[in-house]
Amino acid sequence: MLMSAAFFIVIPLAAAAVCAFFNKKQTAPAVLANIVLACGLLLSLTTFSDNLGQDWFYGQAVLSSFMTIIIYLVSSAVAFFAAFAASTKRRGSYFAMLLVITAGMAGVVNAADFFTLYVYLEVVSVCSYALISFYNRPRSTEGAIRYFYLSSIASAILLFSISLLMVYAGGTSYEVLTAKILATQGSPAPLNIILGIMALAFMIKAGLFPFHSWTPDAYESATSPVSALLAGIVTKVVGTYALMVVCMLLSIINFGIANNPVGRAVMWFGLASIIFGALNAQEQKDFKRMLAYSSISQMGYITIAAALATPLAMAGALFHMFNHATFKALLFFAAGSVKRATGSTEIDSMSGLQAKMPYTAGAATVAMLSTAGVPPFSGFWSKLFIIAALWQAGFYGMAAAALFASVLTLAYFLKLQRGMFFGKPSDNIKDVRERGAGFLIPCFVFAFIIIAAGLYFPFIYDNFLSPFIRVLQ
Amino acid sequence: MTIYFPAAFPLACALLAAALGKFMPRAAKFLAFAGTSLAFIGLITLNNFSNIINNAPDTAALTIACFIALYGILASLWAAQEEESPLFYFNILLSTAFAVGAVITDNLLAMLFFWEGLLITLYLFLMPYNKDTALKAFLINAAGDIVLLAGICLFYANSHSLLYVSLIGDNFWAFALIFCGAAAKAGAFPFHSWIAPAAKDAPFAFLAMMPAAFEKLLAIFLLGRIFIVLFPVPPDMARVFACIIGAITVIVSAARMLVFKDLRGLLAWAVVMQIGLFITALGARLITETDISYILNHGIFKAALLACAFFTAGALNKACGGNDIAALRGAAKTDILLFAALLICALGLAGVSIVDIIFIPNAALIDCYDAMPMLAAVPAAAALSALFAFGKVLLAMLHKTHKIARPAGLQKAIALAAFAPVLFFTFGLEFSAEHLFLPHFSGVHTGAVSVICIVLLLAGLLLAAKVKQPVYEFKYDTYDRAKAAISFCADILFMVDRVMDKLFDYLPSQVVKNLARGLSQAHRGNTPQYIIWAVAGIAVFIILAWGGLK
Amino acid sequence: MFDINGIILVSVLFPFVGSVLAVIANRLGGDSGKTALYCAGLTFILSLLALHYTSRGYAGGFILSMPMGMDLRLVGDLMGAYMACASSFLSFIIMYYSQGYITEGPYKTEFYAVAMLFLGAMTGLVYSVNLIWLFVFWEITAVCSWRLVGYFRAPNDVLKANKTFIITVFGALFLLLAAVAIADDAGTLDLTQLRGAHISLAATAFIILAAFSKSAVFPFSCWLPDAGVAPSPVTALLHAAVLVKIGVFAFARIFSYIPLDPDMAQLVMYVAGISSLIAGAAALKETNIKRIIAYSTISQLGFIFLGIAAGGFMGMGGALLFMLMHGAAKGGLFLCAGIIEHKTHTKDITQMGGLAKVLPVTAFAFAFCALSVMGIPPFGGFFSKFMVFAGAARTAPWPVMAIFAGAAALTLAYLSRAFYIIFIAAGPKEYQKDGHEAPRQMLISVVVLAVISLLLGVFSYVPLGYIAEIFGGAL
Repeated sequence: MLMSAAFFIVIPLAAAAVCAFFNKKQTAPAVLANIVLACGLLLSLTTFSDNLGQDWFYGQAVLSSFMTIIIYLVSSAVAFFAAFAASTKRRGSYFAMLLVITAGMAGVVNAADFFTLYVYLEVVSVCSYALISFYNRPRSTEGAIRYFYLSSIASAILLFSISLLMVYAGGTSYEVLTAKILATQGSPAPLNIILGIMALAFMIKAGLFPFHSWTPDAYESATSPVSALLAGIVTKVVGTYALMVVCMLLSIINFGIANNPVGRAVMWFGLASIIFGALNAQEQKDFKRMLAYSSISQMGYITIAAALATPLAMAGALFHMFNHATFKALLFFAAGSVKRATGSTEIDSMSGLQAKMPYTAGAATVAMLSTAGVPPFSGFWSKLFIIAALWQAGFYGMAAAALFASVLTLAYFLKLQRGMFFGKPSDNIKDVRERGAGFLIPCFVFAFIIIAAGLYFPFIYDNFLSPFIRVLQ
Repeated sequence: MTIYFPAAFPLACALLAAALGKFMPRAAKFLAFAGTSLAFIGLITLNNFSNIINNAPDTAALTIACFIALYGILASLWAAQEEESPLFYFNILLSTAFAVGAVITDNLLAMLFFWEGLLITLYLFLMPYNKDTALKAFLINAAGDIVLLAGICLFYANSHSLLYVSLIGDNFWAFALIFCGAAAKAGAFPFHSWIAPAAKDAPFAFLAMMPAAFEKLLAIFLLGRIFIVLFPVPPDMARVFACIIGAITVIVSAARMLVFKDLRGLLAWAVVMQIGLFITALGARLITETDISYILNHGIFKAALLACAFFTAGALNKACGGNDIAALRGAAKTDILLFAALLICALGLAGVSIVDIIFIPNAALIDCYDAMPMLAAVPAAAALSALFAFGKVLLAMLHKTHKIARPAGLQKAIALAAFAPVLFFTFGLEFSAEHLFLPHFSGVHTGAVSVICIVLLLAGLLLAAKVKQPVYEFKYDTYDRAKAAISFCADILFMVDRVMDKLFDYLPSQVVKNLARGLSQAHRGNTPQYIIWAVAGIAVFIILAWGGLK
Repeated sequence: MFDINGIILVSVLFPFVGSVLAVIANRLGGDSGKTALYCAGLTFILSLLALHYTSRGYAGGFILSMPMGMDLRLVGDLMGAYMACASSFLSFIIMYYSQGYITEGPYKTEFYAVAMLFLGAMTGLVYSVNLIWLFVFWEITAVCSWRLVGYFRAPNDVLKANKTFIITVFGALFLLLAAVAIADDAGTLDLTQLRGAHISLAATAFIILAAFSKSAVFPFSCWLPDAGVAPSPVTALLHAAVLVKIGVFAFARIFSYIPLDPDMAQLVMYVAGISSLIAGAAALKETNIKRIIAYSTISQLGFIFLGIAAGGFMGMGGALLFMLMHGAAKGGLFLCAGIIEHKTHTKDITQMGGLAKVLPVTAFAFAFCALSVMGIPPFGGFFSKFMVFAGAARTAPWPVMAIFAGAAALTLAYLSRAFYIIFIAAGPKEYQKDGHEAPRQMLISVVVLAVISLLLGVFSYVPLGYIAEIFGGAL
């Protein structure tokens, strides 16, 4: 495992170094980045099954491998999109950043100990600040700074909890931790506290309510490829993946959700994010800001399922992470295309875009319906698992609330459709056309994944999720 | 399915007439005659083969069906002189087919199917003459049919069968609804208000056929079925119920008869009055005893009377150029036969038993008196009113005049042909339940009450009582009242729907909008505010988690 | 001989394929409309074959195993085949009508593609016995209805389309919750394994709510009149013939396996009765022709719910028959409304009048279809109304019977009123009679539906025979 993990971390880093040298070249860095990331994706897919069976705790290996696949999927799509969409002179630095952040994320998911995780997490965070503020615009710098403030608080809390863990368990690796768990089965309180503090840090990183405030500003002000990356994978890796690990551990410690107060607290925060995100998205006037709030809402779903930590819930959380990566990235790509074609992402400034940009509009519609959990798209199945898991665990009210939040989701997306796509073409978009294959191909790839996973979800389930569940049980 | 073949002939002819009517109008006339005749012949045949065909209708039903077919034939012959539109003949054939079908079928669902099918022909008959009246007739009859439908459904619910089985036990609502549905077709209160307007515009052939003959015969058929088969032991309230409805109908129609404007209107209200009388007598007889097998004869007699009266009126209309009193002056001199026919019909309708030799119609008065003395006023009022109204007409006809009559021709013949059954009945022809067309003669009977009635009549005529105006002012049309009531209720219910719609449109989006606005106020881009939110969140988390850990 | 399993699978899959074919045909320069028409026709033929086989006693279906009991199970039984036949036939006629109505336009291909998707989802739904896949097909029809209702793309149209989508999705989520609850209680999502099982009152209530929202029962009915902004074939397809039948059909399907709690059945009867009455009253007062017909649909759907709640052969059988008769007749009414609108360019009946001379064929078709809805013999609606009433007379309390009798009377009133004001009475404008009443396809479609309404009544023993076989009962 270490061998292949090293590949996923080291090779992008090396490529990043190479890219940094060719700062002013236009095509070379893009091509290199794309090749590396694509190869990484293929490698992660083919070596997925090799990595099963080497767990530090239940299911961790499958989780890491699957996360690696998702990371490379989104990163390669972003790299492809950025090759066409990024309008900067400093291409080398840009793609270098991209590669480094990918490497960092791969490090996070493959880390076998919390301190390593923290180190890579910081790498990812630093790269995020840089990418958000890459174009030196005032708004994006401001967004980056807000992200920085809150993220720093989170990092501080994380470091504090890691040090506590060090003191209590004598080490920060998963191995040590599992040993300590076995040793202290009677009195789980200290571990609960430590892991609770860690969960707090990760919740801030994930952008859950009420720690979400940086999310809309950051996503709106960054450029579309960066937003896609952030919303699509970064917040997931540094936020919800880590939260999943912590919640799994909490569940093991407390023998389920019944005596897991920290887990339940996290569930409440998840539910609050779902509802808050959906409510706040209703009144947004900007496409990307609306997508940001939508992301908060979907993160809430992942969190509530992760905190519940039953096998079905974990499968749902993981599946939803995958789905959210695909549809949010697609939506941000679509936003980027729209911005490039019409010059703005204000919802009220145009209408009837479907007539002029049918492919983008079609892919965006697929993603929106999937987010709202409408069959036959993939978002429906993951939401179903989450709701079913909540119901089976006895949280009837939460299940109903999470389910009916889909109506809110649908409502704001329909509002977006009415304002932007599904209407009579307005005059100011008379000359708008599709932006070209480069903008469309990533959209289509993700749309294909959404539809395919929706029509035949066993493909994802049997290959990726059931090993996870089997091991959990 | 074989029992339906008498109805199949007119149906086939109807379809043919519909197909050929545009090209060959005369073909339609011929087909009408042929179809109805074939129906009649088919019915006789059915009777002869009734012992080898399954589910054959019984003699009573066959008798009624034969009369239906007979009046269909007469109507088609009559109309051949006047009507040119092939639609009319199509309607005649279709009505005959449905009416015959309703009577000879063996299950309630099929009977209802044919019964309601007459709604369409009724509308189509009246449509070319007056669309408003057609709609009114359609809606009123359809409402009556809904009542019948409800009754049959209740019956089915209690008896679990749609065949003509007997239902024992007190099922007042099933009885009442079917009873009302049957009576409604014939024009009982409150389903009567379409007949008078229809009589104003429609041709005599239609009037003689539908309101007079078919609907009466059908009502009698179903009432007979109700009392003899379906409810062999009628519920307790049944008799009172029947009497009440009958009485109201008679009183309303008697009052309106007194203020008639022309022969058409007079006969229209006579139609309503007859069914009222019939129902009252039925109810009264039930109170005293339970044998009502005479229904068949009484009913057919009355239907024959009405049909004959209409045909006669039509012939007079053709001969005199109109059928109000002014036009009819002196008609007796020019056409003594028609006058005689009308006279006997009038006396029969009034229930006067000097000429009406059969025991039965006078029995109405006696039955009512036996049941409840006050009730006798009902047939008495009917008799008085009829005698008064007809008396005016007949007296007018007896005037001296030098008017030259136009020959009525074939129509006169038809009227006289229609008169034939009346005459037979008058001289005591009676149908029995076992055999068809096997007459026997009863004796002559005079009634003291009838004499009193005639004396009173003459007195009234001489005094020329002025009862016209107030009665005429009393316009109570249930149809209009019902329309107004429905409209009012509909307004209220519509309001309910609109309110709910506004609620759905307004409430969720307003609530969500306000919540969203409120929440986004909290994110105005103020960085310290963000930090405060985060800190608050941390505090909440600690409280939630700590509370559990304790 | 064809294999019944294959027939079922192909009849579900083929419309989805047809949807793609329509898009491809357009790309290649062909006519997406004709492709859709042939596809619908083929689906109808396949459904007829399925009906033929299932009525002979062949059973079959298709199973695609999925984890956690969420298998895609299509069961070819007579009830499903009957409904599939009815839906595909009506879709075929409406597609033919659309050839004349949706002739050109930028969204024509999307219209036909989405209509085919809808047909596929409907066919999948009628054969599904797994609750989750029932929900999946249900929601696919909701998505299709959203795109179709907003066809004209004006801001108000899209607003109404959104309203339709959101209200039906809101209701459908109750079905999902019910499925989750049933899976938790009974351990299976498969209706065939739930035969005779008892489900919790909450799950029953959720299913009823879902059916109410999709089949427009007050108070969830307010989306239906507003959806009249859609083109006429869309309103006919969705809101008369096919989409609104989904709720009642699923309700009938689920509660033909699982017994319905008698108290819940009474509640359904009362709510359906009130809904019928209110909708009838609204239809009497409205002046927009499509809204009148839409309210009429809401009113008639109340009768179908009465039949199902009443239970027994008469009740359930009557309800199924009603679905067929009402689909044909109401579809015909909406298509006539389309012709009228095409001619007069207005939907306001106070602007119309005396159209019987100008649109004779349409008047005749409207009259036939209206008479069927009113339940006057010899049209088909008579039998369905009778059966529903007869079934209800057994189990329904008398206030319910009275309410529905009132609703039946209201039906007479508003349809006569509409026919009268539009066709018979003289209106404010004089319309010129020109030789061209409407495009040929539109006229032929309404005539076909009108004649079918009559034939279904005269030859009622044909559908009644199938229904008797479905419920194994006799009159």
